[in-house]
Amino acid sequence: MEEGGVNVIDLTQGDESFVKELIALGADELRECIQCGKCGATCPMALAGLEFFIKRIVHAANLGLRDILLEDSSVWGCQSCNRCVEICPMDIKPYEVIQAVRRAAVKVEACPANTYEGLRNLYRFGHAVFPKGFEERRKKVGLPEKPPTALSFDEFRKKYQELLRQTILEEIAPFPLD
Amino acid sequence: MQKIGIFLGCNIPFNRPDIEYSMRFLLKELGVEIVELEGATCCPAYGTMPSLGLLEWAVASAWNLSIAEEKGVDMLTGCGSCYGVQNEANYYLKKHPEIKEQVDKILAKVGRKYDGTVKVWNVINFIYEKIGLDTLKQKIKYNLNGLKCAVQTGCHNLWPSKAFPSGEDNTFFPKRLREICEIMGGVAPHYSTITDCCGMGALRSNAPEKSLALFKKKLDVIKEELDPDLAVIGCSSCLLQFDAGQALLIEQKKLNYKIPALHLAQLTAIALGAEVEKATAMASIPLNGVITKIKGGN
Amino acid sequence: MCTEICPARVPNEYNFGLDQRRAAYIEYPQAVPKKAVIDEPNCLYFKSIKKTGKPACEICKKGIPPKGIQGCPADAIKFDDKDEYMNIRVGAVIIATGFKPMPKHYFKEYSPHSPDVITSMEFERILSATGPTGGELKRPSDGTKPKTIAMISCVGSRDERYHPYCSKVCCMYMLKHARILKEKYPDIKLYLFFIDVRTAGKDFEEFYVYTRELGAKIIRGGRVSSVDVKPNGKLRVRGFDVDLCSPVELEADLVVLATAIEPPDGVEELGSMFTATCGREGFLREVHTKLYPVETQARGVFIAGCVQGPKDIPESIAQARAAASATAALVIPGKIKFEAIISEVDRDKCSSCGVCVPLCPYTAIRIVEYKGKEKAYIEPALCAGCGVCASACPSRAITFHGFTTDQIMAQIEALTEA
Ligand code: SF4
Ligand code: SF4
Repeated sequence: MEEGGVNVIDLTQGDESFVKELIALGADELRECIQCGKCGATCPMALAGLEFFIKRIVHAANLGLRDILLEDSSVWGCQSCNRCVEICPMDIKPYEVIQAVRRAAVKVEACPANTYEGLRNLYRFGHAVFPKGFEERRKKVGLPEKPPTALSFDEFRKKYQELLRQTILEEIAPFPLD
Repeated sequence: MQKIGIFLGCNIPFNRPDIEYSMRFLLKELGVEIVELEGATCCPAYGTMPSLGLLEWAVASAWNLSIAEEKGVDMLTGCGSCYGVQNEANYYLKKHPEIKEQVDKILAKVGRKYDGTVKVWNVINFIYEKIGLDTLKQKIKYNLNGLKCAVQTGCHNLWPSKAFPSGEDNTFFPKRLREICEIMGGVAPHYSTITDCCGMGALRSNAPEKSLALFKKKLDVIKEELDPDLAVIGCSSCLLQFDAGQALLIEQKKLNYKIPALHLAQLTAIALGAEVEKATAMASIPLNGVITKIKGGN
Repeated sequence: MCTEICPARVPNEYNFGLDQRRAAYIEYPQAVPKKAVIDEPNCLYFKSIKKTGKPACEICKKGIPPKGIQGCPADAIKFDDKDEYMNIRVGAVIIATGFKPMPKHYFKEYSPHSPDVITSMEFERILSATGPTGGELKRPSDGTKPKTIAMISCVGSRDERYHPYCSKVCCMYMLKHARILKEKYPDIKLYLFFIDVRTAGKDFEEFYVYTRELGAKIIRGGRVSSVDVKPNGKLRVRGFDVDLCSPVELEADLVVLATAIEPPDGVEELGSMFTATCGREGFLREVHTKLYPVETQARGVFIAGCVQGPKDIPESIAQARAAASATAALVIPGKIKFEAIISEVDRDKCSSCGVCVPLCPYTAIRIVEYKGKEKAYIEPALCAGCGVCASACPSRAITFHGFTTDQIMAQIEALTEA
């Protein structure tokens, strides 16, 4: 999709090392995909009309089209619903391909802002989803303002943060981990 | 007395505490002791640690699972993602010993350990297998009085089935939620898009218009095929779409009908006599008609 | 020995001219019998004899003694040997000529002038240990090892301009080539452009999946539209990728065209010698696709292999065995059963006009002497019961058993009764 908007994909860009990277990141059956299209016919991304839905993603991954995959944010629209995993006749586990592409994207900071927001919330509060005004909502139903999760226990939260720092988050987080 | 660790996740305690209230109420009414999982965190959501790596996924879930294991209980969650993520983590920990080994090391560094003994339940399977339909039938105070329900099990409660310890015989023709609604006196027919995605989740965050359009397509089929009184949902994320998402569609003038929606925990709690104001406190689509029908019957 | 010392060189037909052979040569390594022959028009001995009457070369026979090179140690070179034609009488014939791969020059859009655009058959030779490069992967133009190879399927097949049929074996041999290459050179980049991948039957789909696993890239819906030579000698391949839903292009070092399987040259003439006919596509036609797959309409003439249509090795072998069995069944009993519905000449009525003779499509009618006169005679073993002669005979001397004039008249009467 380069060349000044000319709509031709240059297969020569295909990089086998990217295919190998994805295989190492969990898409271990990637190459066996026969492009039967079954996943694409069930995938909510495809049905909702995302341009790069699962079948195309698996194929582009197989061709090693790194730039195309990382520039497009479709993989972040995957619902993780695992419909594709359940029905893929080749047991490719297409969802694992999505996750592998995400994992490759995160390494080069090619992911949407809300991904980092989720990670930051997870690290700070122990909760990826952390909407404002929850105290009020909880009071309304007669529950304590804070749930008895890591949010309520500093020592647990600290330990959890320590645990997260043992992972790749330590390397890729674009926010301070302290 | 049965015991269960209540795993809250994020959406339930922060966005829909009415579901948390309902879960706590129904467990109490059904004689199940609630064990708090102090220090538990996000499951972690698919778009977070699982998107960084398999180890990242497994270790973050193992944190939560280890808390339940320490207390000697299984886990119950009302959220499909929490159910899927943690069951998958359990599955990977068994399937990949090399990851398990690394997870053990990291857990040890923060003074925890996980042997892999915790089973993760969702509300549907918990009621179906651990409570039993007959017991539920005996315990309810209010009958659903022929309330017509359109059920939504939720994808994370169904797939990947091989990672789940128990569940539907045919995940593409789910029956458990329907049976639960029916044992409480409702009518819950199958409909042709019963396993379709509601559009909530990453799609909603990254492509909201498309997500809502997908949801509307499903709703239209429900309306056309069932025209139900209520949508009964097995997953808190789906409920957000069915309730707040539906309200948004109405606000955008894209929908000219309403289908009230409740999480299975809420509906069961109401049938067991919970305070309706609390059990439905955050609902966007009014439930008056539904409540009248349930309460009016007795 | 002679095949190494003969000084005359000619393009090697077996390797499609990609290398040279001598005038004394063995046709190919698996030739039966595996014996050297002298190619007379190219042999210096014969050439010089023709010109000057004196032999200019007898190296194969005598060697080059000053250099210590010996001639044929078996003394098997016989310059006075002649080609011989033999007549053999047989009870049945099996035609198994094989096929011809379509040459690349038809496909103007694929830069056939480039030496690096080759047919799969040529590529097969390049990959072979006994091929022109001794099995080393080299591109014809400059002898370098190609890093990226594009293979294009259905070149000339499934194409109304050339052959509407599917050549049947190309998908699989492309995958075979890819597999050989990937196993030998794991880093090579292979792009296989297919309209669709046809891998019917046991073990074939498995082979396909395995080839994918090796890292060969499959582009479907991808009939290539053009191959262009770039100034740097590379080939730009343009196609469509249905799975990406986009036009694609690629820079390749070598392009391999899976050209169509064609009927061999002269098959029509060969067939008509035996009164066996060709189908629309030019292959010899079987009597019935399902029930008589190795029989031709000429009795005693059978077909096997690609002369009947494109097929792979197992199928060819199965068909060859079927043809052999059918032949044996015909010949071994030493007796022949005739069909009941055949024509017969009443030689007393025959006026010897001979009208029927050229009409018979099965050459079953001969003129033979009968009671001192030349009369038509129908060979019952050859008559197929078509009835053409019976309707043409002006003397009504031919009876078509089962369809006699009386019988036909009775039928007409019955039909027109009401
Ligand atoms: S279902 Fe499986 S084999 Fe088919 S296209 Fe999708 S990933 Fe490939
Ligand atoms: S898991 Fe993702 S890729 Fe697979 S069907 Fe669901 S949304 Fe599509």
